[in-house]
Amino acid sequence: MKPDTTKYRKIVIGAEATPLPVWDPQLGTTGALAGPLSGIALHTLRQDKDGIPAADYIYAELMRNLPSRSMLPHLLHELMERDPNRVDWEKHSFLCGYMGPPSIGKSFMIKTIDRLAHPRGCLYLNCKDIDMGTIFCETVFDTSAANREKAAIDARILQGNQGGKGLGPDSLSMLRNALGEAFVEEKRGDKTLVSIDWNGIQVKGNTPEEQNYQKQVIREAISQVCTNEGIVMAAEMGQIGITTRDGIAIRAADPKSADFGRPVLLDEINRAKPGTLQKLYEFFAMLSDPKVDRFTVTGGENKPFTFRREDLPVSYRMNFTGNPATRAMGSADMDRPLISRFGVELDIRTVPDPALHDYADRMAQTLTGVPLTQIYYAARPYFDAHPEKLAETARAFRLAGLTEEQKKDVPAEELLNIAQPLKIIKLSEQLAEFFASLKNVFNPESQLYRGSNFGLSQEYESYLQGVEIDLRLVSKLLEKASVVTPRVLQPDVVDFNSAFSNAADKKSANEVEFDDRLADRGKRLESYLQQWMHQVLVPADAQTRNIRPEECQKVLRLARTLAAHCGIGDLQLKESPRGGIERIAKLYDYDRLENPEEQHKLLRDLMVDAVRKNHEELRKKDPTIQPLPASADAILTVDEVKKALAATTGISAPHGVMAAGTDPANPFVAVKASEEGGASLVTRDAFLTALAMPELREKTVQGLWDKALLKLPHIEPSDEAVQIAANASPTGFAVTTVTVLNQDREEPMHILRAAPQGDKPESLVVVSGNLDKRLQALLKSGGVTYVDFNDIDSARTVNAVVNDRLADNPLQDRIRRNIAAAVLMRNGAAGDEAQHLGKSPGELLTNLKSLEASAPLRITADPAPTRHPKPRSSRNPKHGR
Amino acid sequence: MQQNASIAAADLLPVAARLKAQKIASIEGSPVFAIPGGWVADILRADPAIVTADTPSAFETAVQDPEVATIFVSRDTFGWRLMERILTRNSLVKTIFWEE
Repeated sequence: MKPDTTKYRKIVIGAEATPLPVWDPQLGTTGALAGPLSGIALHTLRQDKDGIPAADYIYAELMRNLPSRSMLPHLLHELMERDPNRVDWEKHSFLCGYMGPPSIGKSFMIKTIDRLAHPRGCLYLNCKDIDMGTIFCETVFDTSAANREKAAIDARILQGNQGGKGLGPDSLSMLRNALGEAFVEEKRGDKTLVSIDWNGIQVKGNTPEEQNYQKQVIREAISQVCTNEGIVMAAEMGQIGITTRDGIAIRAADPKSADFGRPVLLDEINRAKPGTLQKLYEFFAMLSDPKVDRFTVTGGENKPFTFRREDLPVSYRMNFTGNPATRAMGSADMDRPLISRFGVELDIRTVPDPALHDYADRMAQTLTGVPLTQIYYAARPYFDAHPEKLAETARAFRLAGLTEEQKKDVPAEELLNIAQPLKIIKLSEQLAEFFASLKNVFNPESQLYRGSNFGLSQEYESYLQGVEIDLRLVSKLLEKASVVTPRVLQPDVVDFNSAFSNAADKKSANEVEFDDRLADRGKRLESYLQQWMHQVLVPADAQTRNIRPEECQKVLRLARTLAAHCGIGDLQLKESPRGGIERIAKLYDYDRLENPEEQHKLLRDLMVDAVRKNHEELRKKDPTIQPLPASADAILTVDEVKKALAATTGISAPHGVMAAGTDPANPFVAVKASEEGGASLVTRDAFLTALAMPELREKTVQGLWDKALLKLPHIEPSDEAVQIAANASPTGFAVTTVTVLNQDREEPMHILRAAPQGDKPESLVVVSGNLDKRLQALLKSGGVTYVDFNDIDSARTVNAVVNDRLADNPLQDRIRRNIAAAVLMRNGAAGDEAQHLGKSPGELLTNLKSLEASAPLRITADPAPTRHPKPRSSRNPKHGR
Repeated sequence: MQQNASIAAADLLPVAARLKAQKIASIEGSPVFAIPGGWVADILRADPAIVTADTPSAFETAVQDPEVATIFVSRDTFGWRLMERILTRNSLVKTIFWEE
């Protein structure tokens, strides 16, 4: 016997045109159903919509919501059980249960298939504290007679939420007491939001008397609130009542019901009201066993309903999910195999705990909106040979079956992640390893603690065991880490006086742009994960719980080490990273300028801006000069920039230093860094633009340090601080201070260089004030660390570069002191060195407000003969050594 | 020409508004985007393809409607917990814009 499929459309999944990733848990391998005989039919009531064929939508939607690898065998089972050609329909079971850990994606998988089979999706019931007889006959509050009053109350509540008058405290209190959980109060920022879930009012009483009492209480509460608030009541308001209606199991099987053919999902069945599960045994037997082909039950309004196996539509399906009792949330009923009294063994499948690959799958899917890892591993040899095809395939899945309107809603960040799939897979796998190893930290029985002298107290052990590292947490952490924290300024530059000024551009400067959000997202994720580890491993109420702070710190150190080996945070001294592991910050920070074409385009835009500014100045003096064309390409094309960059390799600038010019025909010009004054200074942006370009940087860097310093008569050339100031130190460090022009004012700027060392490339740090975001991005893409001295962590950023090079150096303290001494050769008043004793290079270099640049090099367009004071190298600070 | 430019700008506004949206959660498969108030919220609220929910009941009606793909929840209409509750007890997946 085959079911009647005339009203359904048959969609084939897992055929050549619709490959479906599958996972073999025994072999631990991924493959795909993609052959001529592997197609599985799904019968659906979905129709083509908005010009999108139902088949396209269903396949793409299934792929976008593909479960993680451990769940793939269950997906396959569920699809096959719904295909009348794959199973003996007469004998097949309409029922299947999935038991396993929370958040692995059991109910999500069922919901996904169900909404592909029926446009309205499944009929869902969360069984927590529910009498399971509800699936045949529901007792519900009928408040439709009070719709007008409900709308008026909702409107008042909204007013109150938005800071208006709202409902009075008496009214709120009455509704709170009468409606129970349906009256929802939530904190949002500094206010409390109130809302009423009218559809979520639950009938609490078991007897008609109890239910009637509850009904009276609600009716009275609404009535009293209306009186208090001056809401006019309709005469029929008194008709609020309690009625019974057919439960979801009947509605889905009754051809007269609007829900006919919808699948049914009973979620968290193990948490049902104790003793009520047995009401389902006979029904479950009918769904599972052809020998029990009829089942009659009393539905809504006391009407009987008879289920007949042969009448059940092809899309009828009943699934249930639950957690095993060992998870401390299941009832004992579900501990035993659910075997009905009729001797029918039900189809109950056990879902394993999430494994490493499940964490990776979930993370890649959260980041891209597609099952990136499953797709990659299903055809790995092909994608390894054609890496560009992986991004193409993933993008096609992300957008397939969507209308043009829906495509607009696809997050731009997901599409950017899809464009770099291998990076995202690596990131997901490193993070997966982190979470998997963190699970061991929270398990005092794990090998991590064996043979160690951690000596954890019982209180701390039981606290650790109570923390669940599940897949939902992983996605939540990723999402929370995406929130940009506000920038904090250092006290030196905070100005409260401007708080009430009417600066017009204050607001616009506050907006976080899309590129800003993405630029540091990897660093943000690392720092968020570290904060989170601290929060959960060092409970704020440790003392109350009798947990010792030392044991928390020990475990935190262990967790940090594990994290560092997965690319989160710094490794401890003397430890080396494992092969292939990269810092999460590096993997995940997004820089669109990694693409050289984008880099050249941005450079062109910056130069065109400079040209325009210059031109406007000229026009102010001579209005007869024509304005420049609106199109940037008409002034300077990207190709011209590239040619100019290539040509600069042949320029023999006397001092090597280059800057962006304002003549489009000659985009880069040779300038000079010297102590000579008088000549016109180059603008800061023009100088930094050239410094950002790898093609020009080497020359510029060499020209910035004056070796002549070493030959001055009063200088000791072997002095390490002097060598650092002259870029001639064997330590590889060099530091200098230059003066440039910014907004028509002379402005100092510090530059710190660390020469290439081993596998570490050259590091260049520029310390200055607020800078155009585009220029900052260009510097970053060119490998230059830009530090805004206004930021509270500016000194830390500079010191991090220094410390990175000195980590294993036994002379690190001396070198740090000499870098500081070299800074003081061009900064601060003579004789003031003592007051800077003991300050780190970072502290000195970011102190632009109070440490005056007394002998900087001037970056000038044309040198003039006037002499500028020599660096105060004669006061060569002895404290440096 | 100028008219064309203004038409092009109108086309771009919904795209620009969505760039300001930040995905902050996924509830039962429904992505939730945080939306700043002001012009971004105004553009999305005015988008005919998006249903605006001003009460929890209106939100649930939209969640249950297979014809609705995207729902805009105005600021302070209701809290996060109630949104989670409603999305969980229904099985369709929607895109949610959540005004902050």
